[in-house]
Amino acid sequence: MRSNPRVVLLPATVAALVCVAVLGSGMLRAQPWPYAPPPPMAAPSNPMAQRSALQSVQSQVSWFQNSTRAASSYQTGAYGTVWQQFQILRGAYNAFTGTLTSQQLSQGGNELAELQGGLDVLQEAFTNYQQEVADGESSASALNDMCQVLYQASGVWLQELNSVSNRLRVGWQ
Amino acid sequence: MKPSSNPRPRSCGVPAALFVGVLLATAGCASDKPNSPMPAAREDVKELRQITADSIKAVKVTLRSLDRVSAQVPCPPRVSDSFARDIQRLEVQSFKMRAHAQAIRARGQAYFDQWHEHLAALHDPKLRKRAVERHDLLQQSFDKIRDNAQQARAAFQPFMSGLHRLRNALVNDPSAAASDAKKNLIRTTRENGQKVAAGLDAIQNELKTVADTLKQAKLSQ
Repeated sequence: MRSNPRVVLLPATVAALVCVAVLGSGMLRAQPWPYAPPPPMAAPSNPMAQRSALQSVQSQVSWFQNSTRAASSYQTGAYGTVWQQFQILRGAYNAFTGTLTSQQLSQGGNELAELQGGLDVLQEAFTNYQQEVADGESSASALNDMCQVLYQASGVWLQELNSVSNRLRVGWQ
Repeated sequence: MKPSSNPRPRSCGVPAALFVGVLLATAGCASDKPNSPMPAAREDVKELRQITADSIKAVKVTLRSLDRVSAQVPCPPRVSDSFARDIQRLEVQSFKMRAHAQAIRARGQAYFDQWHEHLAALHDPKLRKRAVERHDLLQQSFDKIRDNAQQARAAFQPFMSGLHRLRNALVNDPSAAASDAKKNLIRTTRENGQKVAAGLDAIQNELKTVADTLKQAKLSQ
């Protein structure tokens, strides 16, 4: 007696469909429904990202110091160049703090606030420059004074940054 | 049949495969945080005492320089050059102090809480105990430090501004200090400088009180 192929195939097809449904539901569970928008990009806080962000701040301090050194040689736009470099430094520092772990942020709360305060103090030199120029001081002389102070004070700030980073073990494996 | 004296070595394929599997499965589980524990907290009191001492020295040097400038009319170039250098040195040497004052103002009570945490994390158990027992006393000291830091910080800005204006006036006219307007500028600048010095002295005294409070614990051991 020959068996009907339809009778044999039907249970096999049903079994295969059940398997696909069971396994497929597990796979589909990985995709939330409705599809949520991706979470906002947070800066990675792994050691490599921290080292890279720290190096970026250190380099930017050098660029900033170079701009204060070279400012007197610019025919025009010296103040704007120094100001721009300072704003890039602030941005680099903010990006650096974004790579720190919650433990580092908590442990170094005061020290990081002091570094931030240091940047605020540096920024005051720009306000002083504007005040001096408004008071009638020659812009070249006021710029020279501002740049000398910024050059030295940013060096102090960099030492603090390195010291704090070392204490917080920034970029350690 | 005699059993083989050299039995076939057991295959290590399965444990090896399991080991590789575990490695692969946990490859993405590396912690983002540094593995090493956090280092010992910094010595806040000692550090702040040093920073304050540096600032007091720079302010007092500049005040003496201001006195020399106002005492000689016309001001000799040597004296005015020295005055300009002292001003610049003051701006740099007071940098850390101003940054600390800014941080204390920005963080407020959180600054003290961490400060106290650091004291309570000292290696010496007696000092640790003392820091915890004397929390209220330390809080009072911190409040005084915070108030004096704000006072010094507030006076620092007009002090520096007055110094800059006087320095610029002397560059243009060595006899500038003879005019009534500049005499007035010298007086107000000196007053502001004295306020800064008084604020810093008060901070230093308070820090000494804190250090003594903790030292007593060490002596009583």
